[in-house]
Amino acid sequence: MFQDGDEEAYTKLYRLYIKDMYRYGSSLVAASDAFVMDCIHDVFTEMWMKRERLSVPVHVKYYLLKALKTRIIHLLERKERPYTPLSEIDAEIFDPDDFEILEELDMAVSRQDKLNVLIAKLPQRQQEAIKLRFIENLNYSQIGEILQMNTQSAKNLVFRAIEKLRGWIVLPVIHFFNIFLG
Amino acid sequence: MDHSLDNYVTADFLLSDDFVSHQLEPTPETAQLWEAWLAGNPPNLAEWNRAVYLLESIRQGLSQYAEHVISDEAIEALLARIRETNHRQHTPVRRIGYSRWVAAAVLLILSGLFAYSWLGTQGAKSYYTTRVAEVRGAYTERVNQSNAVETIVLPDSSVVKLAPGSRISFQPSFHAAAREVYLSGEADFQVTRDVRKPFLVYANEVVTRVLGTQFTVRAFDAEARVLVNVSSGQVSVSKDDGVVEKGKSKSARGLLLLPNQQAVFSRQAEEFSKSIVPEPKVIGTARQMPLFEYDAVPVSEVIRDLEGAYGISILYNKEQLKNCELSASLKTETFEEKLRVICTTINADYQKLDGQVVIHGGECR
Repeated sequence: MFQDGDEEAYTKLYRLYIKDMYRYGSSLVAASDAFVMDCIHDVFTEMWMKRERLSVPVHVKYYLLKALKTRIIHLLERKERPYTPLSEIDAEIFDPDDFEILEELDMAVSRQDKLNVLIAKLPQRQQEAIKLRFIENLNYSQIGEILQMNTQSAKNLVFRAIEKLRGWIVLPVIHFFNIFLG
Repeated sequence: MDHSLDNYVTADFLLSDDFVSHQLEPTPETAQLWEAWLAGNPPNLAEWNRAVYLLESIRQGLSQYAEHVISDEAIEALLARIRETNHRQHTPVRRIGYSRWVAAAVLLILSGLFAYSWLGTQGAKSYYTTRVAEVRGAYTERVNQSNAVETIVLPDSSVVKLAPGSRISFQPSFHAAAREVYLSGEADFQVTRDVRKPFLVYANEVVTRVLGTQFTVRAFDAEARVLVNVSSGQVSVSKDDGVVEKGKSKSARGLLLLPNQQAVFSRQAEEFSKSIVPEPKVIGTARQMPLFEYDAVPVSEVIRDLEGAYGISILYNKEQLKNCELSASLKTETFEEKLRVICTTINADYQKLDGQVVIHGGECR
C-alpha cells in the first residue's frame, strides 16, 4: 500500500496507469506533450505528498483520470490560456454537412480510417464521453463526475454520439458500396 | 443485471454499463449473466448483435485515440522526474552506500543470467509444453496417434473429440476453481454446464472461456493461427497473458463469440478477428423455428427469420427494400444458399463483415 510510504506500490500504480493518463490527458489539450507530462507529474507528486491522508479510492483509474483533468484545467486557467481546452472550442465547430464528410470518407482508405474520420466530426464533449466509456471503461456515473454533469446527461451525450454514428456506420456502409459499384 | 433491457434496441445496450463493461472486459461471471439473459430473451439477439457491432465500430473509430501511446523512454524519464521531486520534498537526499551498490550490481547480473536462460528455453518449447509444465500436481495427458477422432470424457463429464495428431492435458479431477484444459491440435468440446466453475481451454496463446456450450478449438504448434468456432452458447476468447511476454499491456482485448461466429487469432500479430463460420447452422435457442416457406412475403420478414434462426445480424437498407417480396421455399437450403436466393431475387449483393452480413444494393418496384 503506497499510503504507508511503499515506493514500490506507488511505482506500480504509475506504471499501471501512465498510458491511460497520457492518452486521456493528450486528448484534452491541443498539441502539447510537455504540458500533459507536467500535469501527470503534478498528480503523482501531490499524491505522494498527501499519501498519509488519502483514502484508498475504489476505482483507481477513475480517480487518476479525474485528478489529471482537474490539474490540466487548473493550470490552463492560471496560465492565462496559452492552450485552449478542446472542450471550449465546441461552440465554434459547425456541424459539417454530409457532403463534406462523404468527401473526406472517400479519401480515407480503410474502414478504420473512415470510422476515425466520422468520430473526429463529433462535438468534443461527445468524443470525450465515448472515449471514457468505450475505451477507458469508466461507467456513466464516473463520466458524469468527470464532465461535471449528472449520470443521465452523460448518457444523453453518448446517446447523441451513438445516434449520429449509427446513421453513418450502418447505412453509409451500403451507400459506399453503391458508390463503388457505380 | 439490468432487467429494464428486455425491450431494448441497439443504442440502449450501449447505454448500459453492464453491457459495455462486459464487452470490454468480460469475466466468467458477466458472461454467465448475459448468457442466461440472452437465452431468456431470444428476440433481443439481433439487437444485441447490432450493439456488439456498433460498439466494435466505435472502438475502431477511436483507434487513433486508443493508440496514442507514450514511449517507454518517456515513461521512465517522467518516473525519474517524479521520484526526484518526491525525494526533494520530503527526505533529505540519501546517498546510497557502497555495499548497496554492490548488492544492486550482483542482483542485476543474476537477473540478467536468469532472463537469458529463460529466453533460451522459451524459444525451443512449444506453448503447450510450457503451459503444461506449470501445472501443479498430477495431470492426465491424452494423445491421439490414430487416424480417427478420439472421444474423451473429462472428469466433469464434458466430452472432447480429439482430432488425430492432437494432445490434451487436464487434472484427473477438476478440483480447482476452474476447469482447465491444455490443448495442442484440434478438438471439439461439448462442455457440461457448471456456472460455478468456468471451463478454460489454453491453446497457443489463446484462452477460451465458457460455462457450458459447444465449440471447437484448432491450435497446432506449427500453425500461425488459432481458430475458435462456436456451435452453441456463448464463448469468450482472449490472449493468454500468463505466457505471452509479461511486460505487454493486458489491453489486447478479448472477443465475445456467439453461435455461428468464429475467432481467428494471428499468433504473429497477436490479434483477433471475428467472422461467420463457414457453414452456419440453425441454433437451438431460437424460440420458434421459422418454416422458411414464403409466398409474397416482405423481404424484411424473411431476413428477420434468418437472423433469428442463425443468430447472425443482417444489415440492410430498410427504406430501399421496403417493396421487396419473396416467394420461395428455403427449407433445405444452407444459410449461404438462402442468402443467395434472397439477393438474386431482389437484385442485391451481400458481404460478410465482422461476423455480420451486409446486404447492399437491391431494388423492387
